[in-house]
Amino acid sequence: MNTSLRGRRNARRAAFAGVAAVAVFALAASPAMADPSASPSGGASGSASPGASGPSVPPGSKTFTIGIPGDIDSLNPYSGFLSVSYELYGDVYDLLEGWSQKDYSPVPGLASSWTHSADGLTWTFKIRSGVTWSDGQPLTADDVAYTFNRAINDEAANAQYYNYVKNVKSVDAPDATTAVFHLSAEDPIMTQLWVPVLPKHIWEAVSAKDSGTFPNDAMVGSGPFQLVKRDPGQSIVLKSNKKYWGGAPKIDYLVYRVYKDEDAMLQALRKGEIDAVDEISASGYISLKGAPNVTRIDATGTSFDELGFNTGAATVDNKPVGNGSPAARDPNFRRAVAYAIDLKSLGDKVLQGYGQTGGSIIPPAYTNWAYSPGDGAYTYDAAKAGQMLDAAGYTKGPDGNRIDPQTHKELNLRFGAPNDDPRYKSDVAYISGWLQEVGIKTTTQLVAEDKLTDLIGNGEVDMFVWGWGVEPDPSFQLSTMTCDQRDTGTPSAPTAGWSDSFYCNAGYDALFKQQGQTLDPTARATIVKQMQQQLYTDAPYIVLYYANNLEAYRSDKWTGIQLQPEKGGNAFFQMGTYTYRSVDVKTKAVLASDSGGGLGLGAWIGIVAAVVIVFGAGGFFLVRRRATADERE
Amino acid sequence: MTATTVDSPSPEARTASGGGRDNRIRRKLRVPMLIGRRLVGALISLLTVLVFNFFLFNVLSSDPIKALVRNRHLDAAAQAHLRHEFGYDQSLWRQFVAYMQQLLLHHNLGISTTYTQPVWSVISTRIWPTVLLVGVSTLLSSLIGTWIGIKGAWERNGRFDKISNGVSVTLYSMPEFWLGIVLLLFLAGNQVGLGVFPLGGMNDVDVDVSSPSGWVNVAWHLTLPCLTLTLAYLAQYSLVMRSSMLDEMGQDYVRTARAKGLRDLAVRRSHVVPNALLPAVTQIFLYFGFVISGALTVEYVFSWPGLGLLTEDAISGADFPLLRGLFLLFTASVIVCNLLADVMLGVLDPRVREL
Amino acid sequence: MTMGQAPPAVTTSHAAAPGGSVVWRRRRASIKRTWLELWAQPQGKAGVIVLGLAILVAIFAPVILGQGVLSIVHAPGRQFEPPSLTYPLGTDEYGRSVLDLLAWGSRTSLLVGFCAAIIAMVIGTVVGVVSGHYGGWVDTIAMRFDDWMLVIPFLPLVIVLNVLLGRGVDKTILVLGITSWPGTARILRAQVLSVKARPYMERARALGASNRHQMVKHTLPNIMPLVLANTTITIAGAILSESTLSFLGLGDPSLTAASWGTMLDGAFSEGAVSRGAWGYLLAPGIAIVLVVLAFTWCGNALEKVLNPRLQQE
Repeated sequence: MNTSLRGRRNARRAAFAGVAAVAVFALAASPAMADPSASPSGGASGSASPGASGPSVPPGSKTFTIGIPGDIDSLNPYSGFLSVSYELYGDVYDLLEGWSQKDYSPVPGLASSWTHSADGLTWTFKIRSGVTWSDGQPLTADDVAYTFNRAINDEAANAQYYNYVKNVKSVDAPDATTAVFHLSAEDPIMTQLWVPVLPKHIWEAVSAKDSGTFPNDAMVGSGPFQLVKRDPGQSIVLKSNKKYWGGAPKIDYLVYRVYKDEDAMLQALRKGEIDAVDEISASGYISLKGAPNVTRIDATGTSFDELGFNTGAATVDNKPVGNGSPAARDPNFRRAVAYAIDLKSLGDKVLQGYGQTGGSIIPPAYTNWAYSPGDGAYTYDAAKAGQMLDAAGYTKGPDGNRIDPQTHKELNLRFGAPNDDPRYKSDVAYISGWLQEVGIKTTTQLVAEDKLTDLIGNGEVDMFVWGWGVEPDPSFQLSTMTCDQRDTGTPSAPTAGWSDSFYCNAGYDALFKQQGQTLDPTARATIVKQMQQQLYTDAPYIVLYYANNLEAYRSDKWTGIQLQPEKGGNAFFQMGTYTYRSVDVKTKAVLASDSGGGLGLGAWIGIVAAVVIVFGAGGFFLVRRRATADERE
Repeated sequence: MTATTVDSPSPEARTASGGGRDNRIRRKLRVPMLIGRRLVGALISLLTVLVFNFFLFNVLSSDPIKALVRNRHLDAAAQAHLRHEFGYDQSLWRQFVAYMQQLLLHHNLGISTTYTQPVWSVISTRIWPTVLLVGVSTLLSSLIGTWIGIKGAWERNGRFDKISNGVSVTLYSMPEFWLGIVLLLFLAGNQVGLGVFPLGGMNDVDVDVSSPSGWVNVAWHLTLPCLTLTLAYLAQYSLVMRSSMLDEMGQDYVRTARAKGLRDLAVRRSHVVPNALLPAVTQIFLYFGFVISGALTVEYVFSWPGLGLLTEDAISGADFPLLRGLFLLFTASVIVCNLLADVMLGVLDPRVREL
Repeated sequence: MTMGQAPPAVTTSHAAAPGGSVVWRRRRASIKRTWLELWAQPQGKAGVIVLGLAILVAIFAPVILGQGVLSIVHAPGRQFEPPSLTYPLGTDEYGRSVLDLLAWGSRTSLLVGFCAAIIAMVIGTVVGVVSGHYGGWVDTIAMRFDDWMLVIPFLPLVIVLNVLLGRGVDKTILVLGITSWPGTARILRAQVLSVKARPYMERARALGASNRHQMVKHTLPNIMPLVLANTTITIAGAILSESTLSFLGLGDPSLTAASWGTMLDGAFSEGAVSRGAWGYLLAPGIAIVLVVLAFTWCGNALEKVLNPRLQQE
């Protein structure tokens, strides 16, 4: 199962690469880049020249290997959008604050403490001293100021981290250990700034137009791990930063190993080739039951899958984009669909019980913020759905399919979904089945994720299934439903924003702004819940379910696994690096042997020669035996 | 295609050409001329394929730039720049010229949309695993298949022949990928199978593949996919060898040899088999196209990190530049193999040179 | 596959028969004879029986099973249940009975096989007859093109065309049809050349028969047996190709589609191997093997019947 396209804890993203993207193709199309040794992969073994590469992990080191279902998309924190990429950024870079392992509450990170002015418009962070970058340079508040100013002013960086600097005007560093943020309005996000602190001395050499395409092969960071080698499509090797300010990790190396096939990944876990797996399918989790030496973790999920609608694709200037169906724009239609789907059954069948039925876009795991519809929840009632559709004017035609009252043609909604994760395919299969039962015809389009982003951004689908991972602070997720996050550009050449439903409601936007400036958690929660209620009623998304986060690891070999949150949380891919820093081997037994690089040319010749010799010898033997047998005739 | 329909005099009956300097020169030049002719033919085929490749993707994909820059959204100016870069704003002819230039001079096959790296660098990392898989299985299936064909033909309609024919036809009717799945289920899976072999991949994690133990590890992972491909194509080689043997066995010189008092075995080994081997061996090269196709699906089943798995990536990611590059590579290698087969036949079999 | 001379068909005095009914009577008798000889062969008998069974299943599946068994939403069982009395072959990833899917799948697999083969045969026959009959530069160009098409590896070409044209049963049929004719054309052309040299053809030309008349009234009927034998082989190949394309994810995009290749794709990508769902994994493959074998047997038997020399082997 491939749960890719979950960035920033599963945020989906349409890149705002802008002019910068031209550079990558100009650069890559030029003959220089056609030379494989100049490829941006950063891994010698991944390049065209199959030179012999030595092992990247010395024998006898403590190495923790975790299997991942898909590769990262970029080493550059300004352009990556998959969740595995953000996992990597969290390993290699520091954030100002962290999330407590117990309950996600803010804890000090790179900033050892912070204060803010009474009006909340000036925040002062005390930056730790004595921290060094992985290239040896000292880290100072200058780097912090540079990072955040760039996030404010640089187009690519702002596209990624807008949510955290939306109310920040500028940042300065009066001295080496103090960073001062000047805000235009209060913003509760100030204690949860998911912006990796980047080294000024590296990034000031990267111009604005190269922001999104800078390969960042060295990944100079201050975090608990440092990049050793990346083998595109195969593995990422990190080594521990023994001088980490938060304490040296107990292991020496952390390796992410890419598996395209979940079966192979689980078999590797059973055999002990890898030490842990994260976010496996329900089917995979079930198949691991009773596997010796494997401990499974069933953690409350913080993600959701949704059925999204094209509620009116348009640019931020309200110019319509694409050719979406009028039905999807009609809230009555969408609400009827909500009654036509059996969410409980869907969760049972697709998640095999490992999850919760859907509701709002803030998962119930975040108890402070989540809204529960209670008695007003949509239920599975096909008859009611049919009545609602009739009432809204979508009457059934002669062959049982409903007709759109605005176009007078039979409904046939284009239904898109990513083609890499079987779970989406199942979602679509069931949903289209239920819709057919109430007379709504759909045409399925299972496509690659980037193509789906394109289709959605161009307004060329009417509904889709996809997923989001939600971070502890609700602001980002709520922002994806604001008018500002719709397409930019022109209707013929749109650039997608975070909004894929194109929901746009002035009241909702006003509430969003308000919650973004409310510091009191209780008051803020009230507003946030009000927003969710409105979304639930208008149904730009029908949230399908919250899947549990299913993981497993080798408990015979490893100890020191830490769950976040403490009760019912998950061990890997956390908001922080708790497990990676505390995990340790149980005994002094077998540790990592050589970690292979790519195959050397000599190795290949040797392999082929060896096989030829072996079988040649066998064949020769066969011939000789035959001769003897024949002689006997 | 090769000149497989050879109605030729037997070696004994072949007359020596008459004397004279001209004849000797002509005889000397025959092989190089043959090679030259075939080479020109192959080059023409290749050129035609390049043109076909260009037009196919240009004509059938709606907006090549959109496909290239998918998800790296660009504003109008940036798109225009890219269009100019790849020549899409110019006439079809200029585009073609640009395409050929990039291809032949800079080996630039474009950028893969899935990997955002040059297509050539993505492909070149995956060639060796496929060569290993295809090479070893071709070797095995040709050796074993040839042996089966010889034995089957010699004891025509005997029990061995009947059984091997039956098995061959059954294997022939099987999709190769399904054979791979069956092997996986019973030998690698541990629910209904023995759970002995790996479920996929080329090597275990943390194995240094340049070390001898690494080679063993790779060979272990190679076993099932290789077995699949070998079994799948065994039938081709055995059937060809068998019919070639039958053809030879019906020739006059065999009767002569037998009449001379040579023992069966000697007749077979020294006379029939060498002559029968010739067309059979060239067929190995001609079947390369099929083996490539088979490797495509088998690599997918076993997650063998070669060109086949890459093709599946390109399909599911709708990565046109990568697909186009792979198609070109597959076709070019089949053309080269056919050329080798033609040349080999021409060099080794004097009868063909007369044509 | 080489073909020798077909048995002599029309000989003399066809001009005397009213409306050519003598010809038809003779042809009918010839067909009946062929059928009996085919049935006499063990291969032929087995092939015809299996094929008959498959076609019956394909035709009557909707009537006996109903379309309801394809419904994902109302699937009766749990995911990947092992074979039992209720589900003789187990269930698929949605809980539907594999046996029912297998029956429905025969429709798509056979349909694609037949249609693609028909397209290929039509194109191949036209090219083969025209180029064999006219000779000269028409022949040269056609055969050069044929050569070139044969050089391009089949599966990559088919994949590329399918990706570019999009998914769908009709597109698969089209793609397979336009890529499977080159081999056929070549074989038919060889046969046409040998027919062209026969005495009665010369006589027909002397009598002033037009090209069209020669090709349609004389050449075509004579090579029909070969066309038929070749068609069965082509169908077998098309079924195999369809299953490969579906397995790679290029089959019918409709989610309730069931072709044997789509079933294998579903099984494999949903981890049936790890879950040990052997019914789901083995049944479609065995079905494909049986049907392809049946077509091959029929083709071989037909060949033997129509080529007396082979029968002496």
